[in-house]
Amino acid sequence: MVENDRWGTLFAHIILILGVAIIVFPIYVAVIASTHESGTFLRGVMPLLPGSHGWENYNTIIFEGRSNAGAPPI
Amino acid sequence: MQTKRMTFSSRWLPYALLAPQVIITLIFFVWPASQALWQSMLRQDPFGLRSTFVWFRNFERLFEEPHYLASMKTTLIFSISTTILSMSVALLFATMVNRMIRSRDSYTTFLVWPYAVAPAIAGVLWWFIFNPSVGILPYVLSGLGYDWNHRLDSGDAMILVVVAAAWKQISYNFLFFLAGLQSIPQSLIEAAAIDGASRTKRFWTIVFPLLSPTTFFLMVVNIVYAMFDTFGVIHATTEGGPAQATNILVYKVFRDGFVGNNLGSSAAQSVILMAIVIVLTVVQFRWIERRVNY
Repeated sequence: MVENDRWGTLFAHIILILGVAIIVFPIYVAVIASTHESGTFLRGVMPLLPGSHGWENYNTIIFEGRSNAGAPPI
Repeated sequence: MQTKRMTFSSRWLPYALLAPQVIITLIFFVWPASQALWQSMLRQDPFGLRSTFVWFRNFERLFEEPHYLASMKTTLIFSISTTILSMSVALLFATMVNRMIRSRDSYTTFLVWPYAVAPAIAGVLWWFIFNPSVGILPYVLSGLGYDWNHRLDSGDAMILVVVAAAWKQISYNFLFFLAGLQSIPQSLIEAAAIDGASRTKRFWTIVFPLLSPTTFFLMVVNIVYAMFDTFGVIHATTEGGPAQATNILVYKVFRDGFVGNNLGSSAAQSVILMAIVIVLTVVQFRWIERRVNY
């Protein structure tokens, strides 16, 4: 770098951390959503913390497949 | 330009070497394109049993139809806002990351994630977040007093598709901008700094003009992306609605052809789109390469 600009660098870090948070947020939401049972989404606002049905959901998708094809992707 | 002159021992060898490329172009481009051209001059009855040759009547009808002109305007708004949003955000991130030394790679890794997501999946992810009944963003926005509903409000729907399409493209633009920034000679920036130019001044008078080839290249790529590759985003989120507010040209081709069963009009629209692509490509290869020099 050309000059030592401590506050500028700090500012850049803040912008980047916020930016990364926004960019990664949709993927985070998808991962969180994959650990909830489908009823959660009918009950209210989407949770932002992992649920307890992750193992079950992935097991269903990978080894059994969904019986009701064409359902919304929840 | 220097060219190497090759001599082949057999007369047929060069043709044989060219054949795969020519055959692929013929089968996957020329044949379908000519089919579309032919189809665009036919007109089917509603049941698809008969078709009559009508010359350019399909095109005439298209340009008389207010929906088609509205769709052109929608496409223009959509592609320009997607391009500006994704490019400006990517440029901001790229300049910030370019200042970092140790943390550069970790930020880059995170910012490149969306590139691995298919357009339809990107649409579904943002549909999740913006969903008026379960989404997190309408919940936050209603706390701020804004009633978000992209099913009813055409402005909200447009914002949703623009955000989803731009989000997907930020990674690509970011990588190109970062590469462009790193190829700018450090000595120019140092010289300006010694002359007392501030960081902002250096960016707008040295870095930004030197980035212009990258910027122009990305602009064409982004416009082409927004106009032709965002079908999945639109189909997964708004399906062209509400009231045609997000019905871009590519989506209208699909709707008119496969939902409305108006194959002639749909083919005429694809022919127009093909003309637009050809114009954009010519612009990219001729005009831009000549105009951007420093």
